[in-house]
Amino acid sequence: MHTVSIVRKDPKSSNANYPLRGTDTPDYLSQFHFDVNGNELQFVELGGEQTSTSASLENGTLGAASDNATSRATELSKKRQASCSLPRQKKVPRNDLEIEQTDEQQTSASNVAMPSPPPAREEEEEQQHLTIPHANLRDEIPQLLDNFDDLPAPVKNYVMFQLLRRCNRRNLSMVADIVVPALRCDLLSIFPLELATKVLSHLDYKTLCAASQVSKSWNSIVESLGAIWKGLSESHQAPVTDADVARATEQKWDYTTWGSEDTDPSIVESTPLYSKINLYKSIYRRRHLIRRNWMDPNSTPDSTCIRTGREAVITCLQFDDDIIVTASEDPWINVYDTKTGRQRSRLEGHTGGVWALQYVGDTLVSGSIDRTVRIWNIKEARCTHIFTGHVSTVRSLSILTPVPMSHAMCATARTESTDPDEMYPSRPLIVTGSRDKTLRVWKLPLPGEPEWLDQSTQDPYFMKSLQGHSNSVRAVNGYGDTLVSGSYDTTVRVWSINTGKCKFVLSGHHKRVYAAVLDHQRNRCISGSLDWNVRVWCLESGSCLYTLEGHTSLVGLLDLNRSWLVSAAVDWTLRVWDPETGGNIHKLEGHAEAISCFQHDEYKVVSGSAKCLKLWDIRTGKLVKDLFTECESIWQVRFSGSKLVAAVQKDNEAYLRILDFDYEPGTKTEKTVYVGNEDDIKVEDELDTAAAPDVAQS
Amino acid sequence: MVTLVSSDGVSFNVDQKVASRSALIKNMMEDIGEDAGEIPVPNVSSNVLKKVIEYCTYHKDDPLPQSGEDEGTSAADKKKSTVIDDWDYNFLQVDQEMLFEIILTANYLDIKPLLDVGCKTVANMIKGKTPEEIRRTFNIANDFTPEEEAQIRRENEWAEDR
Repeated sequence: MHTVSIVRKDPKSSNANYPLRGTDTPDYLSQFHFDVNGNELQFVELGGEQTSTSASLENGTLGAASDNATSRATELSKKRQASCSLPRQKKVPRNDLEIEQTDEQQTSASNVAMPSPPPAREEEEEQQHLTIPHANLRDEIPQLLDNFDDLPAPVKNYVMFQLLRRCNRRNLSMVADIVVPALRCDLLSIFPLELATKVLSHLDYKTLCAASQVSKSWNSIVESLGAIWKGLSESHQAPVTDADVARATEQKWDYTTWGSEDTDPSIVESTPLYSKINLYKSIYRRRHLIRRNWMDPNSTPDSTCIRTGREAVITCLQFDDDIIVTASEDPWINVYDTKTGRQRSRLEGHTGGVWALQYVGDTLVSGSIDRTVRIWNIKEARCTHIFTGHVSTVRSLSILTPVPMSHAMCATARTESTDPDEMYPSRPLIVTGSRDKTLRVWKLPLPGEPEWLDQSTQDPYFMKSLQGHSNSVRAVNGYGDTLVSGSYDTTVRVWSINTGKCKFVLSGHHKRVYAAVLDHQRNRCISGSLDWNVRVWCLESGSCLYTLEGHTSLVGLLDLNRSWLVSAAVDWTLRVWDPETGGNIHKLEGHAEAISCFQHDEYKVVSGSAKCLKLWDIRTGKLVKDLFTECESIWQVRFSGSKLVAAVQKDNEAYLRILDFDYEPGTKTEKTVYVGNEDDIKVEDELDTAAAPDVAQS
Repeated sequence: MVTLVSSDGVSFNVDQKVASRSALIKNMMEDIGEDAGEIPVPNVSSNVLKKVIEYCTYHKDDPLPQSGEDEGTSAADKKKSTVIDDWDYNFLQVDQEMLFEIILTANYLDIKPLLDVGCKTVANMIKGKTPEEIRRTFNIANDFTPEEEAQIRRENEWAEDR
């Protein structure tokens, strides 16, 4: 391989105004390979011999290809020297450009092979060095540029670097000013799609919407990436299910309208859209606008009022897009259709009021004053199992679904599991808490497993009884292997489901505990008590981390999500706490009686007391609006997605009220539908002026 | 030590530990054995390779990312903000061409943390900007007709604050 050695040539000037003057040639510029017409050459810069002006060609010539450049450079250099010897004359070129060009020429030449002494670059010296004949510049500059053009790319880098070392601050600033904007390029469009996706996945919806308006190419990238919008939905809203996608497709959701229940294609065609609809973006948009509807003090949700025709207090409420399930003192469990409000079935069997209820899929579990736990098939409206064993009221229950083993066990109990897919519990379990002071753990019967209606013997689903509390168990909550129970004996107990052992007895409250929730992410638990306090406990050590003071009465309700802990009390207030530090963030004041029920998410709190259901902005702690007021009691409230369901009492009758915030902003007048479920179905469409929401006074 | 050779023939001697930041090179070294000798890195020029090695050297003691977690689609991953560590931030204060080359190289050499931080840096250049500001940032021409532009604005109006 031929080697081109070049002796490093430092600029003469030692002026501090030349920022790169003393900079060493980077390694990658001082030795590299380059290619001339298929011949590979090695370039080597030899150590800085200030005075030497020679460059050597080892192993003979540089090769035919570079002869041209070399000889041209030689010529040039000679000319330049010749020109230097010409009498200097006239005109002081104050013009920086001329000086600059001259320097370039010299440096360039020297680097190609034939260095010549660089000009003196001291500012004061410039005065003496001014007389460069125009005639030569006219020839030399084009030649110089031609030479530069002919250089192999890596050699160009070298030359450029050497030129930059000879530039003063002003020159460099000029270069930067030109170069930096010139290097701006449409990164997103030249990236492979996978990288563009990676970049865009870091953006929020607002920026994504701006990005799709940048250019045609950006528009097509942003609109094509379903996964990003799906990811945004799932991290800020809720999981996107196949059913969601099917609904969006069917109703032709887009970016400007509320889609259409109507399948007439002409409706959609009449509103042409520039972008091809990305279903996930349309789903994100829909949910975003629904959330905005929720938080709008002037919202106009449709409402459905379901009459039960009965007086009994509704004790439990759970719903999804398909069904609403309620339990009551009377002691029936009722199933309603979420869309129409019509009753689908009644589950009869308990002989006392039902005080605990939860369903998963088609399987419903209920616990009653009659001391039994019953399992129901919701679809067939049939009791499939009766579990006996508790000797007093079943007051609380929780279904534990399997979670990955790595999350299921607290750090100290974690076994060396080799199977990353292993789940705990291995099948869904039921945990019940009773006034008989015990908890019981059952396997949740799976579809197809034997039914069990014999109340005289112990069922085969029973696993264990957890004993230790000395008074009623009021609250149970679990995750993975960990179970917490709050009791009227003033303690909270922490259990391992696997061993059935009590790991900690958390003592500190001095009155009954009414609420207990497990914070499995922080390995903590939180309890609310009749002693007015909320306590946060560490489940590593069993010690009390914080006592959250502020309520002035029984704290009967507690709930937790990723960002907020909310407590509700008989003192008419709710409080929002930071679950990490236990700090009190907001006090929600406005109810005029004890809080009977609430739910919260990342954005809002909905709370009920007698006569009033209120909606709060959890971030500001301000009231958004009263959702409704015309009732005597509000027993239960749940919300999910666009819908809210409340169990209320009005004129001594139990009602369910459904509010639906799924409407195109600014287009709806609120409409109330009454559904009677006792006598045959009676539906009235009318504008219920009494139901008009009060405008928020926050 | 291994020697990485850039597309323009410049050799860089680096610690195995440093070179192992690249999953691609790590696998290569495992396949070839201890005496890996020279590893050519085609498509990556010396000035870019030098930067990338600088990154790998600084981060040589970081824990390696888990292979199973590299999809970046999990909810937790999405939640991660575009916060960038100080050193990385300064490291990536380069012109767009260099940034582009660094990201492509990180992708090619499979250096996931560098790829992530590079993509975040580009994301931060976009974040919170209006379409016009984005165009200026990346020197992009608006190639929509006025009608198209109005239509697209309408399609994205829902995301604007009211």
